[in-house]
Amino acid sequence: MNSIGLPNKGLERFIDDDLPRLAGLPVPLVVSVMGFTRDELALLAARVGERDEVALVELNISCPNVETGLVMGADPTEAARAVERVRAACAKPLIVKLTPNASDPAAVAVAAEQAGADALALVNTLRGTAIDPRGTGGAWLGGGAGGLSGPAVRSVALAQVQAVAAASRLPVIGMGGISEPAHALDFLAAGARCVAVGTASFRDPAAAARIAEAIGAARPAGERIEAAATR
Amino acid sequence: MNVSEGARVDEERTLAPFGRRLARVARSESVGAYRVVTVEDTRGPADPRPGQFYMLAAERGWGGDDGRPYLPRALSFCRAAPLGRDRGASLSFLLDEVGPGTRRLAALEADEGVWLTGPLGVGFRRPSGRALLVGGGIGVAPILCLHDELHVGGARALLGFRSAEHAQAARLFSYATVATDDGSVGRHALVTELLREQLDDDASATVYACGPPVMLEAVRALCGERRVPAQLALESGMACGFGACFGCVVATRHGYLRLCVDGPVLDAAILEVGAGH
Ligand SMILES: Cc1cc2nc3c(=O)[nH]c(=O)nc-3n(C[C@H](O)[C@H](O)[C@H](O)COP(=O)(O)OP(=O)(O)OC[C@H]3O[C@@H](n4cnc5c(N)ncnc54)[C@H](O)[C@@H]3O)c2cc1C
Ligand SMILES: Cc1cc2nc3c(=O)[nH]c(=O)nc-3n(C[C@H](O)[C@H](O)[C@H](O)COP(=O)(O)O)c2cc1C
Ligand code: FES
Repeated sequence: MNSIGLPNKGLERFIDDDLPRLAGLPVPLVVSVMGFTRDELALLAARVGERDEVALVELNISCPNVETGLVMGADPTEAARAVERVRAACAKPLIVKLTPNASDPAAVAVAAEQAGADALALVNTLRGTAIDPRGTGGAWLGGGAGGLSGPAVRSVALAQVQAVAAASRLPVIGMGGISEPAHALDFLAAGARCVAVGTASFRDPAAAARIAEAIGAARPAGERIEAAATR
Repeated sequence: MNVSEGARVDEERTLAPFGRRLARVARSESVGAYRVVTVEDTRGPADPRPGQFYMLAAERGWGGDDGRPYLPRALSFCRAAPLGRDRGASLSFLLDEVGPGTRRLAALEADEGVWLTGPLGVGFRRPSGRALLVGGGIGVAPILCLHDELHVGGARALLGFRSAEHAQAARLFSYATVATDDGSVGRHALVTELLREQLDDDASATVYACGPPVMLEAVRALCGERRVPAQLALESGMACGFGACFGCVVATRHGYLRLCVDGPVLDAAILEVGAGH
């Protein structure tokens, strides 16, 4: 469980300080953007999308739109309006990262597809909380509540990936609790075109490379999605 | 949140090989209330800096009935001995069993496997001049290897413990003054009182400290008043240990710093007063 939020240096310092360094890595770069209004999202996607170093842009719609009060990724109409706006502002292939905290993620996926997304990624973290084990009755997480990831979410993620892959023709990047090669194969069998490894990388920084090698997918994932998305 | 980077330029850091590696437990022994687990890290560097740490997970039995522990746990090495030419180091860890992770690591037996990532973070800078070492409770771990390093120069270690059982960890030190909260061993005082006396005696010193937050805050305040430079090894929740999760940030005058990358040893002067470290 984490309540990290999205700490970062902001757009300008990301472009000036981080992007040149990241561009030196031997992989295609996927830059994830998140904002609290559609204008913010469009600006971020446009500014990173115009950079040659960036291969793909990912739109994280797991956050509330402060203008409507709705979580952009929880509601198909909200999601479609956000994706439409960003699509018009950004020429790079666009991945839409879906939240599992939606009553019908497949409906949100279809809305994103119709609004111009090139690929879908799921799941983000599941909303959760923890109570202070010291018996104060208060929250145990800095942000009051947080997001759950890792092994506990795998079966939920697998079901959502399956539902989304069945409903949409876009390539799907599946994730949620993958820490062994067999888990990755399950996601591929459920309809994912690629898989991603999050939390497991914290216990083994080489987890993604190890899993990719074990399942014979040694090609960098970004390249495959790029190929799939521009097909 | 404003996240700074690389606020320290005069850092002392040995870089970790990428990824985690399996090491074997050579032995495990009790030292009073604590446990010392020694592993043979044949594929890691032979010269971690005192104050640096490793992320540890048991090869087997990691993830009990409720799935915890899943992530590795951060531990400062308390002793490192080179195993010979390019053979890595024998690393000892001092463990306080406070939860499922430290309990499992404390139960490791000889020949069991341990996943290691490290050494991580920035350690204590190599002292020059008079050094005062201050350790509280499990915080004596990184102080021990620093003390070993300075042994020739005879640096004084001031150690504070809760009880006589905990104070047995002082045996690991060749030269230490002990205080206990209950007066059962050594002085009936807080270790910061011993530090105050030392500084009253002669304030030309650098202080190196690790211990619980209240102790470190007292050390910071004491040294701040007297303009005595201090390096503090801090602790915070660490999920990854290598800068990826941002779970370990502490507020400093340079903005938030990730303790696992920019620490765990920080100059006391850059800490925000009462920032919750
Ligand atoms: C850089 C660094 C170096 C460290 N070096 C050492 C070292 O050398 N030796 C060592 O023993 N430790 C060391 N630690 C601390 C160690 O990493 C943590 O104590 C460990 O992660 C705890 O894991 P756990 O699964 O045993 O306990 P967890 O269950 O994860 O508990 C962690 C802490 O949370 C609190 N907590 C959790 N559950 C409860 C509860 N029910 N009631 C009250 N409090 C609770 C406790 O304060 C407990 O200490 C270090 C930490 C850092 C960041
Ligand atoms: C500490 C932490 C920070 C995260 N930050 C982000 C983020 O900034 N943007 C995002 O889209 N997902 C974020 N996630 C979610 C992960 O990308 C991933 O979707 C989720 O954790 C499920 O995969 P996993 O079980 O492999 O971790 C974060 C997860 C964790 C644990
Ligand atoms: S522990 Fe993950 S960033 Fe420091």
